[in-house]
Amino acid sequence: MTDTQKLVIDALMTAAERDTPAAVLEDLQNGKDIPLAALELESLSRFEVIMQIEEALDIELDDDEITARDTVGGLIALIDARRQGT
Amino acid sequence: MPLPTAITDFEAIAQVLGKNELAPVAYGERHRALGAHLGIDTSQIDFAIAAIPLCQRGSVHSETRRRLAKLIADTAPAADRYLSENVPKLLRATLTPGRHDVIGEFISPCVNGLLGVNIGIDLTIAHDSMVSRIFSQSIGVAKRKRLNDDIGNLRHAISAARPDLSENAVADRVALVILGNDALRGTLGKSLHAIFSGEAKAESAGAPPRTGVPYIDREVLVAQTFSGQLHPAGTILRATLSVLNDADNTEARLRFFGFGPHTCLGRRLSLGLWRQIEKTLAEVAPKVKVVSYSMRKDDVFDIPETFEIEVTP
Repeated sequence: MTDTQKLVIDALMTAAERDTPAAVLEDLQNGKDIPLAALELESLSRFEVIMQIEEALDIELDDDEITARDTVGGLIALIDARRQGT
Repeated sequence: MPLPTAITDFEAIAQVLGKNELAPVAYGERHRALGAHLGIDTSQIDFAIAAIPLCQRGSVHSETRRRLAKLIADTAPAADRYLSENVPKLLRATLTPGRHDVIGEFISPCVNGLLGVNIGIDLTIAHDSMVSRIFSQSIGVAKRKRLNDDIGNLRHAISAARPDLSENAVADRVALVILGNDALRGTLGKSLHAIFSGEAKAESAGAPPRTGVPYIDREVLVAQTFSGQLHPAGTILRATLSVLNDADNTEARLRFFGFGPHTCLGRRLSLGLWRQIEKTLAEVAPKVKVVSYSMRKDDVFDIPETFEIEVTP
């Protein structure tokens, strides 16, 4: 698991505890590329994820950038690209 | 927030913007809820929102709107003088032969100068300032912190330059800058680009050919029917002003500024500014080629991030 994968999954796990069904949480923890919609994150929880990632990597991330991604893998790819300044 | 329903029909847009039964979206509540949930400071955002009519409903909307209208009216003669003395000078300098940064050489000084006259201080707002992004529904947490800081810096700059002003008077000036800054920058940038790239005529008959404010959202308070469709309470209707871009007649493009109780308070200033631009373009008749143009990622305003031209003799 890459640094970015670990960071994104940890952030999603923290925020998802309240909103997400247990089976989906298990898949997330096991690194499966699940649809972001399956996490059923509320808006405020999504912003927790954003804040955690922004603060860890000193980057800026918008809510619509997250909602535009279909899967956890897509979000990880976005963060990787942002880390590389692209 | 529910996804907005786009309203693109000209007449329905007029109805949406003119109806009292439709309310501005509750921008302030969202910032406050996020700030409280995440433990981030939104005090400067809260300070500004309290004075922005677009963020208020009912009698508070009327009162904040009345205060801003008075501020604009009181400074209108000075603003007219500023426009007639400075806009032709700035634009002519930007249209001399050679390569020019339209944002840095014309749009920024023009907008800072005009809004500065309105609020009574020498104003320097950077093109990438966050202040007008108070209306964004999508900016993340880091940008919200920058937004709060940028508004705080603007507030302190006004207070320092004008210690005679009350807190309410400072808030009104902050609100005016927030409302005017990106709307003007976007409208000027998009319109000049349309003219310089040949997409629009330079003689636009008194109204800019493009708007930097592509839509206005309104919340349905009591079920409403538009264009034969029923919209239940709680629906967000998006009056899509950008469909008026390219409208042939001036009257249609004047709808950029809205209708009724929510008509843009800066309409007269924007049109005065545009008249000076049209007049100068007609006098100079420049040969211009756009060499770079890119738009900012922004969910509220259509605003260029880069805009360079090459002018030939």
